Amino acid sequence: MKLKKFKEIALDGVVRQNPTFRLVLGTCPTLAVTGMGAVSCLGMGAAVIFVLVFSNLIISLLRNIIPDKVRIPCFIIIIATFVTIISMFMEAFLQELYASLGMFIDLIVVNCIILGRAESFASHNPVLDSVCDGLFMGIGFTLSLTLMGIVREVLGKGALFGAQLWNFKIEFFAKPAGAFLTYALFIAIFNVCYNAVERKLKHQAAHKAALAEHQSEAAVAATEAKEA
Amino acid sequence: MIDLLSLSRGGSVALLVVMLVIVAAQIGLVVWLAVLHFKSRKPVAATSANETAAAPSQPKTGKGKNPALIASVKAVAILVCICFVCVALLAVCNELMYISDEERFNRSLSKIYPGFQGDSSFDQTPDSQFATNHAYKGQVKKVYKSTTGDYIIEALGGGGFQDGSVTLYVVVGADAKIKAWAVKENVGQSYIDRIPGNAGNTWYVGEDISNELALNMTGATVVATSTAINNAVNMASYYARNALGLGENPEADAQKAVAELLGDQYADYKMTSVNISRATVDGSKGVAEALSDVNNGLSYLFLMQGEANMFAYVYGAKETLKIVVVKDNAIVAKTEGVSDTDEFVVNILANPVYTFTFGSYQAYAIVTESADGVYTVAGLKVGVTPNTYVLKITVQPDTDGKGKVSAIEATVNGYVPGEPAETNTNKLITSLVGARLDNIDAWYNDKTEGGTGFVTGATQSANLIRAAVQAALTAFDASSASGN
Repeated sequence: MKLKKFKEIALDGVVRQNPTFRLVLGTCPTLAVTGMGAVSCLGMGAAVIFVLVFSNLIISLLRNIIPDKVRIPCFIIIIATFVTIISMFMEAFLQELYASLGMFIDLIVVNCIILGRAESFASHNPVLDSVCDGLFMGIGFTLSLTLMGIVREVLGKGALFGAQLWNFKIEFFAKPAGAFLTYALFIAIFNVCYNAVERKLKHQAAHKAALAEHQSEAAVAATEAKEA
Repeated sequence: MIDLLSLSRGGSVALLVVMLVIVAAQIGLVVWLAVLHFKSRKPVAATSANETAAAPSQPKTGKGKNPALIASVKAVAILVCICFVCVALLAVCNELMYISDEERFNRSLSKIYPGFQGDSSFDQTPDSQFATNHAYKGQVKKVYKSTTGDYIIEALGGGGFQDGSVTLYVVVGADAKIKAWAVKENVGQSYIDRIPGNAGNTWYVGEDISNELALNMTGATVVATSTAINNAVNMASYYARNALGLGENPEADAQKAVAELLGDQYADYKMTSVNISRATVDGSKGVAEALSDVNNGLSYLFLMQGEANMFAYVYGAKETLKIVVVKDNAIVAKTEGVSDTDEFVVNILANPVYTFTFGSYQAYAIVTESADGVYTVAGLKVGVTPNTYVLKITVQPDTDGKGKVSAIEATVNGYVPGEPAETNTNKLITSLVGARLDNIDAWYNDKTEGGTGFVTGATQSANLIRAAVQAALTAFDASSASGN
């Protein structure tokens, strides 16, 4: 895979097609898990990365074998298998995290991000690209979740990663209504920043192109003048 | 070799079974499609030339194969293969990450009872006679005994969110006190993470199991899950009292004495305690005490449900129990030495337990005091949920001399905390003013603006309030009719 494509996939996963703030996918765990604290968000993110990477890997490997008619059942079975594996793993080795995330681990099966990437990317792209896509989409999801989790934990519980910072807290942010408000604010801020950066980049690219055109025109004029 | 068919182990067994069923169904589908395929290849000799011409043309390959059918068979076969591989992968993972019951037990106990050493000679199978209790929707699944004499009871308590349950390990000391508890698992309790992390070392700890334990939800905001935990702890206490012989169990002794008094004739009757001990009247007296004022030292009141309802009144200490059993306001049985002229027997007949049936619910009420048209009535619930209402109901004669409620004051408001129960029960109490015995049904069912029919989230409380009001009106009309 070329470095340029790798960069594109990484930027898509983390920024341009950020599943949480740009595509607004995986809303259910975003709203619920961010109320449990930043540690739970990291755990949830890690579980999603595992499922995304491995389901993308297998689906990409089998993309030419799986018939179109049964692709969705096949994807679901593959995704459910990896969700069950990560659920078993967490129950066996990360009991506290497993207890705090509870049913949300099993609900990864129905997370739109996983099926969405399987359907739109892994089933049409080579293995390495698909694995990278899964990895960076997962990282984008984890970062978004953790950022929201940190804000809600600090404001709603006065704590950070489980450690109590101060007694001041605005309990509203730890409650479901606070989740919606925090989510909305994050989407707004992210998209304002994203659009501003994109406009700036476009402007710079247009400026560069105009400059290049001007230079080439000047060069042509100079050549013509020389010839004359 | 990894035992792929070891179905008795692990948490993914159900998933494996479901997947195998799906695979079996898919194999059946493949066979069926194959049969259809071969049938479609048979030459149709009897078909006339015209029919052949009229038949829709089907795409055929060189040897008469149907590509669509082949594609379908291939699709199903691939799906089956993927299922097989996934099942095998899960079986391997299950083998590697399998958590035994013993491991789960040790994990749950590590925080609340570190260094547990089990008494291997102790039979862990619970005594079936006391392993379930309807009142707690509970069940004891296993009992462990430590070498230090403490018991660890694995008890399930129902009545949680959406009628789900919580299973706990409850440590009961040899001194009949609860030492700690830990959650093993739950069904449907999506807010169980709102139970404080230290609850297993604080809630109920140090409490004597001789008495039923009141709901504790310190620092938690989840009533239903806390109720399931309360029921599980009470289930463990019930088992410890009755099967392990820990602590005092005067209530069970009283029930036993009532059963012995009644003998085989009423052996089929189901005996349940009427909740008379939870609430407090006027901030000082319990309902039991208020009833005792009327009935001279009442200790227990049991509802006996069989062909008809009977009430067993039990008085005094264990050694000197006096029992009177009443059916339809007539004495069915009484212990030796109790006379019909004894004050408490006279009071029992003068202050009966009123039973009301509202749809599928039964509610009970006792008038504990009456003076100048003001009736103090306790609306009582059978079982353990802590709803007890004590209302002061003022009844005045209407134009035809029948009783009409003119004021209601709630002395004890037994709603389970939370909304909309609190608002709706308070609204119900005030809006029943003006009701009469002959119109209380319509009054109660009035769902118009300002009517009393809005009791969302407080159905049982509403039934107790209504029972108390009906009892006061019944008592008033009865006294009016008798000219008292």
